[in-house]
Amino acid sequence: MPVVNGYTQNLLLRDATAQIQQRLATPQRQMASGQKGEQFGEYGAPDTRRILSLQAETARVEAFGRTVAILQSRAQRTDLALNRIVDLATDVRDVTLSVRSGAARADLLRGQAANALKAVLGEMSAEVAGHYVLSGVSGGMAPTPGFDAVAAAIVGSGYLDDPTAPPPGHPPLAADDHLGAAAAIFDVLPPDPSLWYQGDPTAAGSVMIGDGRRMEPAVNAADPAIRTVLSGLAAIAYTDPANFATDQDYVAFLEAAGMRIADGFQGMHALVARNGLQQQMLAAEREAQTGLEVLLSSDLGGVVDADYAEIAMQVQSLQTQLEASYRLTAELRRLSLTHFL
Amino acid sequence: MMSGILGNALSGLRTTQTLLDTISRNVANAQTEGYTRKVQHAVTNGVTGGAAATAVLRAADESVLADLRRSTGAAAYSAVLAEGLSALDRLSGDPGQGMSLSARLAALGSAFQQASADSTQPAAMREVVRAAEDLTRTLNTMSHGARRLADEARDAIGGEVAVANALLEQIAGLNARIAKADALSGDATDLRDQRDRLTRQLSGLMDVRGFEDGRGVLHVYSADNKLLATERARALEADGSGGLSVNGETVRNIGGSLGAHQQIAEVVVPRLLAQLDAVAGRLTEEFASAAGPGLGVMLFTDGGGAYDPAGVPGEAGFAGRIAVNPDFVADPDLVRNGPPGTNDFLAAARDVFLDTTLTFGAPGLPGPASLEAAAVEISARIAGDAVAARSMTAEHMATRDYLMRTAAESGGVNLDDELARMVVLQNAYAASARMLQAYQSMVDELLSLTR
Repeated sequence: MPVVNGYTQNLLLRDATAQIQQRLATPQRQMASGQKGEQFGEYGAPDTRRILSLQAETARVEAFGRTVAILQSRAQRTDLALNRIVDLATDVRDVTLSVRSGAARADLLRGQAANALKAVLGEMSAEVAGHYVLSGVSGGMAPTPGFDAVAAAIVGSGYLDDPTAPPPGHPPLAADDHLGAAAAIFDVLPPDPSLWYQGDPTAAGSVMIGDGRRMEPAVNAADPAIRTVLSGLAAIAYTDPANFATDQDYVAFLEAAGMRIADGFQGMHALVARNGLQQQMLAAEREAQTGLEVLLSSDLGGVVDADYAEIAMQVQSLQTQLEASYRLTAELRRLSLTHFL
Repeated sequence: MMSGILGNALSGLRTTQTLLDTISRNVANAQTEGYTRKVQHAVTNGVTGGAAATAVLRAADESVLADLRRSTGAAAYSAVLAEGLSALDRLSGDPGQGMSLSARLAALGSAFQQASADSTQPAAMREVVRAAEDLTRTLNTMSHGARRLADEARDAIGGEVAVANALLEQIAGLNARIAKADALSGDATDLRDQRDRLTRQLSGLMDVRGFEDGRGVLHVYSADNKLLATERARALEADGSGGLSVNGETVRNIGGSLGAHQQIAEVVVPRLLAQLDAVAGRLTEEFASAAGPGLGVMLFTDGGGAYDPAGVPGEAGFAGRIAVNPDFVADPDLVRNGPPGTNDFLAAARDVFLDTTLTFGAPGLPGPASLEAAAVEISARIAGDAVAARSMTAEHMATRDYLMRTAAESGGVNLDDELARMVVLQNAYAASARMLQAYQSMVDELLSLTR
């Protein structure tokens, strides 16, 4: 016959009640926090590994996502810069090819070329969030020292006025090769003193955009196509018509300069295409990352988040047990010896 | 014949009275902790034909009580261990908040990723330094928290040893009194109840076993058979580092809450500290490699000084001292280019977190693996142990409760039974009284005939 009263029985009943209260605290806490547990110990080793791995994976994907977003902004700005450079150079080239009498419009043409050179140099220093969009630069230094410095250096070199007397370290040119003189100036590369380019064309500058995936920069500031356009513009802007024996010689020079700018266009279009391809790759990467983020978030939620329907059932069941336990305790407390007599 | 009737009636009254006293004692002590039901029977005196009461016995099942002691010790062990592991588990932070060690490592890796993608941004460099400080703070907190827990466990051992020694003294005292009472044929059942209660309390502190000899003395032994008490107690001594000894001999397999404290102080916490030190050491060394050998400037330092794994045997406690190089804190732009003389520090630093071939010289850590995988394993191991300890606690508690119910059913007081017996004894008492009345009537009748 089971014993229904006595100290030990009361003790057991009290323990049972406390245990139910303790068990009830868990679903109540889950309801309040929305999580299955507040400690990893409530999940166990396999789920803890899963939670932590998913959290770390999410952090990694989010970081790559932010990187891709930055690269997308840069690529977008690069696209604008490249197209603007092409537009500016196209205008100058069109004018040079339509000139029949150079001397008459020389000042106007030189001014337009100088303005275009200034705008192109400005575009080359375009930046997004403090970061220059063209690659090949480092240490926060702009790709070019600025229009005024470049102009002063070109004019100061005297190379355009007398191509046969080049600055130290540069080969002499033919006496009338004014176009070659401009090109030679822009071909000066580090570690030699540079007139317009302050970066390191050998710097890789690739950026990691995913696990094991890196992206090389699409456009380097020292790209030959850009140099060609710049040299064409500079030659027109800073070559004095007085250096030519006849007006026809100057017109021929302008045509050659226009053709040089046109030569650069092919490379510029390739750069625009390469940049566009990179934009597509970045968009695809971002889309994949967004999908992965959703998947990871869903997986993490499946492990961490509480199931409210399940909790409600647990609470209901435990509350019923608790009420029964309270009633039994109350009944026992009311009993006295007279109930047994 | 007349005197025989009187004797039998009187013995019946006395016996019934004695048995009623025992029942009253049971009813009165029904709510007393540790009280076991006392059993006493009436027997016929074969010589005189009168009634007599047997000696008072305890209705206690000794095998159940022994099992209950073991179960109490096991439940206490797992409960304390579960509590300690839960405290260590809390050091890993809230699962939903992403503040664990692995999350901090991932955050620093992400900060380097961001910085390498946007190296002209001072904010990105500051974020790297902030993430590095968060990581070192987490390592420091976990290391110090674990050490504090070990210290608390050692303190608890000191306190519980004092309690255990007091209990052993009381048990020894009761042993002496029981032996004396038994020798004088006295009733020592209440003393045995008291001794059982103390023994059960002791078994919550450590695993004990014992047997009662012919004199009624309970010999109390530790789980590894070291004598702790007979009529004299032997004092347990804590060595201050979690160990216990008696008479200069080390006690092994301590069990109970003392065993759990020892496990925490000597096994669980040291293992965790070694793992944290290994992760902190590997992290620092990898950054030293990323910065280039012999530069003397690293992102992480040993409490502000240069980290030298060879100079600190076992890298003891490094996780508690690791700090971000103050030069980087003062000038976050150092992150961009790394220490003087380094090439592509940002990319190299990013790769530290993606390297899955790192090895860790600490037990329980995977290898080769990434820093993050090692950190995940640290938290997962604690979480797994905490779950196992809680599950073990629930099992031992259930067993203990079952044994308590069993002990209560065999040794507890059932008021229904006691009151039913009381009614029977009241009738027997009335019958004996009626015999005395009949005897009185007979004596009166005889006296009236002689007049």
